Amino acid sequence: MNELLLSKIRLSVIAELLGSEWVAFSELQRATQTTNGNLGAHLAKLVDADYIAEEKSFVNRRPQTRYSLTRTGRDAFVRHVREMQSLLEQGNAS
Amino acid sequence: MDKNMAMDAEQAREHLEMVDRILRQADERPYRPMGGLYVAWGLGAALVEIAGQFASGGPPAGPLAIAGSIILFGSLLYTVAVSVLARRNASRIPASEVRMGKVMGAVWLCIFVAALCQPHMFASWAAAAIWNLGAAISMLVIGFFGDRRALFGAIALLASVLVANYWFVYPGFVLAGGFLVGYVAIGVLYMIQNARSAACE
Repeated sequence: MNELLLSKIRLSVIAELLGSEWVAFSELQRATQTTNGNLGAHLAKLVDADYIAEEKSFVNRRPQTRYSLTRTGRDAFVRHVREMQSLLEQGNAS
Repeated sequence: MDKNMAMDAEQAREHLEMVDRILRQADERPYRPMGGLYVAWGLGAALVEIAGQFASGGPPAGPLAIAGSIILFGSLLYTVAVSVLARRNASRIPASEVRMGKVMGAVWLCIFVAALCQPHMFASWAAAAIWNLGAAISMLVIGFFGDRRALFGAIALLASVLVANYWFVYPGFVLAGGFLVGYVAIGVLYMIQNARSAACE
């Protein structure tokens, strides 16, 4: 089981990015309903694992940070979901 | 301790349900097309087709054709500027819109190439009708992604081509009507929807 994706917030971030080319920090915060600092810490872990890519830019003279899902992150998410499905099937069988 | 042992089937179920919920929410986000673009493109194309009718199927000439061409050229610049700005200012770019944009790009590239093949490959009214077909395909793409208004617009545009062919009295007016209903009217509906959504936020 992928320890990084056991966190609900990190899993939510990956799921949010799965359907988007990129998502800004503010949108991720709205989706995960968490604080700036908490989300920032979770995002840093995902960036370090190369699951998501971070891009900083300026929009209307204000800094904006955007995140996108990497191939590594997508593969890890798919693997994680498959593992959970098999765990669920095992639980149902026993 | 093995993480597999730490998570039981019930927790796995909760995890999967959460993922499913998030993905469903992402799918349910409404597509908000820029209505102004459809209004501008529709008006420009309709004016050129009406001008073509007044020129009796020959090359469109006169103030209407000039006005239509200016609006079309302005629409092209407006489309590029608005797309770049919207992309820069957006806080989220859904993957479905990126895919839709690529399909649109492919359709309009083909239509532009076809428009250059006059007068031999697309002579007379065919040159005007291919614009209606391009617009119909682009509306069908949006329609097939779940937008009923776009589907109605596509039907209006396709109907205009059929009617213009089988009731060959005023093909230019009929094709222009297709653009006015299938593009301009739908664009106005999008503008109203976007204004309402902005007021609610």
